[in-house]
Amino acid sequence: MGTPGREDPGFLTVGRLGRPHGTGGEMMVWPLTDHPESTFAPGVVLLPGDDAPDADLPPLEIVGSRPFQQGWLVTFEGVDTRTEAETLRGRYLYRTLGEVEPLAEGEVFQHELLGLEVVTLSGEAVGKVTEIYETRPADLLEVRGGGGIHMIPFTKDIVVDIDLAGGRLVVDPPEGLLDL
Amino acid sequence: MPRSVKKGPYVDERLLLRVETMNSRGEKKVLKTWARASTISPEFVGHTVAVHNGNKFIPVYITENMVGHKLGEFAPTRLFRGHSGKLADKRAKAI
Repeated sequence: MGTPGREDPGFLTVGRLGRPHGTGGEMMVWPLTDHPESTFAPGVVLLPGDDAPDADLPPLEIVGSRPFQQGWLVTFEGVDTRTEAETLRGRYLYRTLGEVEPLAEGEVFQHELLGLEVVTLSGEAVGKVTEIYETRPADLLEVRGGGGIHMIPFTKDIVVDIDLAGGRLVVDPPEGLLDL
Repeated sequence: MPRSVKKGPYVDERLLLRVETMNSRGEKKVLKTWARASTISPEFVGHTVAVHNGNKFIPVYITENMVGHKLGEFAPTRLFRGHSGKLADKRAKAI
């Protein structure tokens, strides 16, 4: 899996710890996953850290969770007071790649698309994927190249082939898309 | 107060005319528009419309589910760049 030149990450970021909620150690978690129900289910063990899982911090086992506003309120084993929860605030939560929900048919991880070389059906280079915006109805790929910045909707009509092993994305843009 | 039913939905006339012309010719071009308030009519389905978001044009691929909504709903005026450098458990699927 992955783009050439990029190592297999081993871990994926699934959330960011926000403010403590109440006095019992409950914490707000901002999800960075498309499957928060299974990721924040009781019994799941998550690894806290900043840029990567921190070996000095103990793994956090979830004992309770519930959706709240645009995030989740989660209680961890061993975090029983607001003060203890405050020490974790701002850290990211990681989960090993093998434990996250498997990809469905036709799905790819967004980070796998980053850095792919975008070429048209005729072989003309457009640029590299630098960002993915979650928009409706289709995600938008930001592609930067010699011709500037292009926005390309991630639809089957336009993105005709994704070659992760070869690091290439083949697009069939409608007339005018690359002139915006 | 909602728009009068008697008037029907507001669809930008020039945009609709351009879409109908393309449909009759079987063309697929990206149409630039500033008409964010225009309702998406069934003729638009399958086309890509570049809707201005106040800064640049956002290409919007029109699907059946979008009929009846406004074009501006699909061209956000702020684009969230995500948590830089983090490999999030987010998936993408071409529709």
